[in-house]
Amino acid sequence: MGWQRACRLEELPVAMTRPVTVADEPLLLCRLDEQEIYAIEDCCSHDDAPLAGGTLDGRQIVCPRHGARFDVTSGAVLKMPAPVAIAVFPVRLTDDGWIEVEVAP
Amino acid sequence: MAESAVLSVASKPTVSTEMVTALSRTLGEHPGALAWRLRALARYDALTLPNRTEQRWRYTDPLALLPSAEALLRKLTSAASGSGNETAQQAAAEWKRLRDDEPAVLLMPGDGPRLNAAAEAAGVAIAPLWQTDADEELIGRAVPAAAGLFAALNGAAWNAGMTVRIPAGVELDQPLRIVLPAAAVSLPRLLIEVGPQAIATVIEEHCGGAAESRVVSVTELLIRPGARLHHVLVQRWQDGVHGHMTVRGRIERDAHFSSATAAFGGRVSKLDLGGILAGAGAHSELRGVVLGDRRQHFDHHTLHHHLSGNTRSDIDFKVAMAGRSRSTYTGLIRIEPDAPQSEAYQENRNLLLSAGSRADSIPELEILTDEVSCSHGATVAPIDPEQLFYLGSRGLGTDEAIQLIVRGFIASVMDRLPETVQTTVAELVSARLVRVTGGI
Amino acid sequence: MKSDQIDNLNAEYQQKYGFADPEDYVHKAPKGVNHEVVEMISRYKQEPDWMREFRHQAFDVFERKPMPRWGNNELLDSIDFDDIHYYIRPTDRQATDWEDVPDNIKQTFEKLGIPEAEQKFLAGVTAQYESEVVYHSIREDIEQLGVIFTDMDSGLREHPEIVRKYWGTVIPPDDNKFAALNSAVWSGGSFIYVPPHTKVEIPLQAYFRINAENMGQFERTLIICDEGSEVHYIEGCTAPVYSTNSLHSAVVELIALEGAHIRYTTIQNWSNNIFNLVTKRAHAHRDAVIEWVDGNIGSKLTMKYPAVYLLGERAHGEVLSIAYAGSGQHQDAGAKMIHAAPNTTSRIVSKSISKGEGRTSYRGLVKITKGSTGCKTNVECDALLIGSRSRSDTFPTMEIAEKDVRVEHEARVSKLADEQLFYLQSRGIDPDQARLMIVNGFIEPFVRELPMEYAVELNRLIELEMEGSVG
Repeated sequence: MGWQRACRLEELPVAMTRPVTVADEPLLLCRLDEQEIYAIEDCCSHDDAPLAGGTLDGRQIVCPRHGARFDVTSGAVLKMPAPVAIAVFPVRLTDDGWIEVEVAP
Repeated sequence: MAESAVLSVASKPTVSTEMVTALSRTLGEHPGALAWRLRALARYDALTLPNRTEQRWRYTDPLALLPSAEALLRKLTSAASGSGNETAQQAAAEWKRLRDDEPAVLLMPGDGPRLNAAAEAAGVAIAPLWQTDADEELIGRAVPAAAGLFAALNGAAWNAGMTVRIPAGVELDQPLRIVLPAAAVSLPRLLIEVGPQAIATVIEEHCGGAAESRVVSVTELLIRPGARLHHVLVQRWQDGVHGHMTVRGRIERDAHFSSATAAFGGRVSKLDLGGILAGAGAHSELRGVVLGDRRQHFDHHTLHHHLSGNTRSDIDFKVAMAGRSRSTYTGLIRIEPDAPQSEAYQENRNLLLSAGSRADSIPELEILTDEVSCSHGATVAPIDPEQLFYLGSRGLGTDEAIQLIVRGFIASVMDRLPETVQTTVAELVSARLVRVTGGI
Repeated sequence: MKSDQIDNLNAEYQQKYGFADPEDYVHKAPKGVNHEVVEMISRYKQEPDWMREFRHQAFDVFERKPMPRWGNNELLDSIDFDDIHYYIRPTDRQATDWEDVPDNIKQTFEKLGIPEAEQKFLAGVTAQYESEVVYHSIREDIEQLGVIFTDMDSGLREHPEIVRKYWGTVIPPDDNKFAALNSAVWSGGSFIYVPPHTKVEIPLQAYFRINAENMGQFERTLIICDEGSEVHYIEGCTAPVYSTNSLHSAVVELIALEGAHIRYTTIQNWSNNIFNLVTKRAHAHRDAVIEWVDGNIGSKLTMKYPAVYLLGERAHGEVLSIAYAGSGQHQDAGAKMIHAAPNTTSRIVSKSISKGEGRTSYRGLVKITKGSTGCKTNVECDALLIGSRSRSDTFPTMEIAEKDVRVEHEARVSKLADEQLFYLQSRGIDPDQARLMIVNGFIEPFVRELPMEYAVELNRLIELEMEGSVG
């Protein structure tokens, strides 16, 4: 699949998240800083429902339903009730202002 | 910690009174139809999107199954202006596929359904839905518009509807075949009445479509006292189709409903299939085979609702998933307090063929009286390596062996298919198995 | 069931468990819960700041969280959180000598047979009355092994480093509304730490008693079993019968480190005016074993799904449960097994009996995460219905994201078999006796897992409940 456009940079303000679907993969884009953007699987490993709508607390995303926490930079689970890590995807910014995500086939 | 908003807000497509009124008029419906549609529309407007914390919607995003507001508007206005002909070619091709001697019904917008001479002679009557007031008493009996968001949407805005009546006592030798090609947006509605003591087989075949196609179908089956209906649902959509299908059989006294589902196609496919056992002696059997691969997502729900005592139901649902496909099966058996002496059984077996595949199984029982016998079983497992080893020792290659094992796994459902579809379905199975074993 | 039979049953319960003591408390918080009540409880207990903050944060979560919308909405919605006493301190000090327990409380527990049980077969006992543990003892030889067994409040005071390390890690307050409420207003419960490679051969026990009307009991139990250790913990609970409802909402966290083995047995016999909404969850690390043995006989509504997170390779989890629901009762119980590591195994055996207009529900989850290869799990649910208005539900969920696993689930629902009854009657056994024999046979796989004294007690309870079962 390679690099795919996810959304425009200006569509994702700093400290915000945005759910996108890239190559059939539901992802959550998390913008920590001006240039620091991560793409994680939009799916809490506890109940398999979206993380979208959860809060960003520094580098952590907090699941909106049961408070599980993941490190958005690595996918590592930091707080129960999520039992395992979630997937993270490589992100890059293009010169013309697109956020792109690399999704494996 | 700042609350981060979800930036994209998605909602169900809007349907207006004007759209529905124009649609009903263009289709030449009886005035009763419009009133019914508008009541369904009021339901639709009042319903919110199913919440993903609800058990039935935990695994499938309802938005993935709904057409966009623009696409729906485009479709409904084009149907209303009588120019909806986009599936004509597809339909013509399907029509050719059917054998000439087969009693067949073809449903599509812009072309009338046809019936062959034998079926006509037997007294089978087909007509566009609700062109006479006779349909008034039948519609909504098995799938009321209040049944849920998708039933309400279809109830308000079906753009192709057909009534099939099989008269009392008639025994049809050959199946009726209804082919439903998917357009960009399809909202087909079937109403089939099998008269008392009649015997029939009806094949409902969902096919065609393209990447952005959305289908929301409803099929109501009224099985009158002593009648026997064999209903076969074949879902062989093209890749990328998203669709929600509702099928309900209402089974009256001493009637028999036997349903077989074979699902292969589409990207996201949800089927809500059920039998309502409404009279003493009613008997319902649901069988299903689902073969998925790549990134397909199947969500099958079955319901057996025992409203009356002395009723029997049985479910056998077989699921084999390959690639990164995913299946969810939920099945509810509910026995009401006034339905003693009921028996209900349910089995869901899942075969996972690849490391990326996934299966969820949720068989549910709600038993409200004690004179019953109920059980359910579910399993999830890979292909038994010992079986593979054994077949290997008999000289079979791995691919061949896997194909053989999968065929054995689904045999209990395949055996129940009427001859007419057996070939079609067997071809679909073979094609899928070749792809699957190639991809393991 | 005829009304005189119901009266009869109530009379029996009344006599054995249903008596109420006159209230003579050191401190009784006014009804209702808010940050002030939370603060009051924490101050009263002179807790460290982190715990006080934990409570306040949890209270915010409680206020924010919606009620669960499954189970029994009607009953859940009938809970009036403003009509409950969240904290009652029955006595000023905790006794370690039975003779020092205040007379009325002592008599209560004596009626319930606690001191007797302690002498006979227990390594330690905790008795909680309302919000606080009033009596606590541990056998000296067990203590000398380095085993810590104390009430949760003392645990927090005396072993802050262990408590803080594990507290809320298994069940965070955000998990559900009742876990959040417990986290905000918890009091009492047990704290157990078993050092590495130590086997506690005889069970430790806790006994929970609600006496006051409109009382909320929110005990908190934390058990940590270090590497290669073993412990068996038993809890029992009762309350008097009042016309108004009380709430019991515990949080129980178990942690079995590598190779450890925890068995947790509950015989829940609350009176039929208690809402029993409990969160129980365990972490099983590599090669560890967790067993929940869970008997639910009493309460108005129980919602309880003991869970095991199988976090380390080859960990094993079991839930063995029975539920009995007579008229006016709903036992919504089940089990959850989360397989988050390879080669983990689990088994769930659930048996339920619904009688009269009683309702039992099995609600379960088996989840296997991607990559957890070689897992095996087996679930069996058996439901017995006695009476045309009885109800049984089975709601199992299996979420399997890994191919190389074996998942099996089976459930059966049936009426108490006429053939068996007929056979027993033909042998000259009267119908009531015959029914009891069949029910006893049905729950036997559960009963045989209990210590003998408990098995006898459970059989007696079932006998009591089955009395006059024609109906």
